[in-house]
Amino acid sequence: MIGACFVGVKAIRPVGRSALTPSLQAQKIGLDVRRWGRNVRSLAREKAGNGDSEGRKMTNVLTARPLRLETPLTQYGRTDKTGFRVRPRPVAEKGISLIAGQLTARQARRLVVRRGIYRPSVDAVRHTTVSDLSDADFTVRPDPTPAIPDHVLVTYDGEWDDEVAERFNACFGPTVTEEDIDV
Amino acid sequence: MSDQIAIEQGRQPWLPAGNAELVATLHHYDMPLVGVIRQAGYLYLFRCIEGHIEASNLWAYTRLDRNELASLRQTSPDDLDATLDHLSDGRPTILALSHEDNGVTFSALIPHPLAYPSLLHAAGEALHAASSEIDEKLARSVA
Repeated sequence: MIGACFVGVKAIRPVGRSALTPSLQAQKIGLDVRRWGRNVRSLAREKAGNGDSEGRKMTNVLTARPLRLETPLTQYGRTDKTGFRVRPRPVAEKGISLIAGQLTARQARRLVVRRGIYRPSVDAVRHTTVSDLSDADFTVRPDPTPAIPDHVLVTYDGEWDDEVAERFNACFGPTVTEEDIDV
Repeated sequence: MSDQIAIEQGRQPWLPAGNAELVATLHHYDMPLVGVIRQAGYLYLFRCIEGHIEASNLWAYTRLDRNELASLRQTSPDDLDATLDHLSDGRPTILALSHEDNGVTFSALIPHPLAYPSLLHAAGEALHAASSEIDEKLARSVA
């Protein structure tokens, strides 16, 4: 359950503020907002329109819905052997993907798989919060894409070994397969 | 020169050759699922069409031009799927099977995708045809 992440001594942190400001989010992906000047938004949009990757990243950071410590996060998975991912894919992956919001399995499937047949007994979700993952030493940041504007990336500063995978897994509530969650 | 993407076995589907460059990621969930690759000056749309969160997955690659890339970049999230369908519908397609440990292990050109009920059916038929040819050669070699 979610409470598993709070085992041990944890610092008390204020709830209700942004976990990461846009400028800090930009800094985490190597972009310095100050270097972009006062018109950072319009400059980023202009650069993005010309196909510039830094411009796209900066636009993404500035337009992403801010994450708060209490923001619920959804992971899409299955009840079959696929299960839920607890560590990044072995090659070239930056982290594990989640979606900001308390989504149902049908909603999450729609965003990730996009089409095909929803299977109520197989398609599943589980939930956590920014706070739970942060307390377990994971970094959570918005990483919007055209397909999933509320896409969130979870990373870990270090080797994502079995212990880290177990800690990540423990941050989530139970697997939910039916549309029984208020959105 | 072929106008289809050249895929190297063992590569990851979103970078399927040493000379391929990822120029846009439109959908990412644990890995890039839809995006655009540049190879030898040509642009290709890649899409995961099955197995989005599984260890093995099926991918489709179709040619794009610069104007189509620009239209993809300007598409709103609500229109993304329709735009992708429009840009890939009926075009010659390379299908590739990939596994997260081994990268791309099999690929096949589907010149006429609309001849099949779906790309998944086309992939099944291509794999079946390859398997039948190998069976035939195997039978000949032990006869």
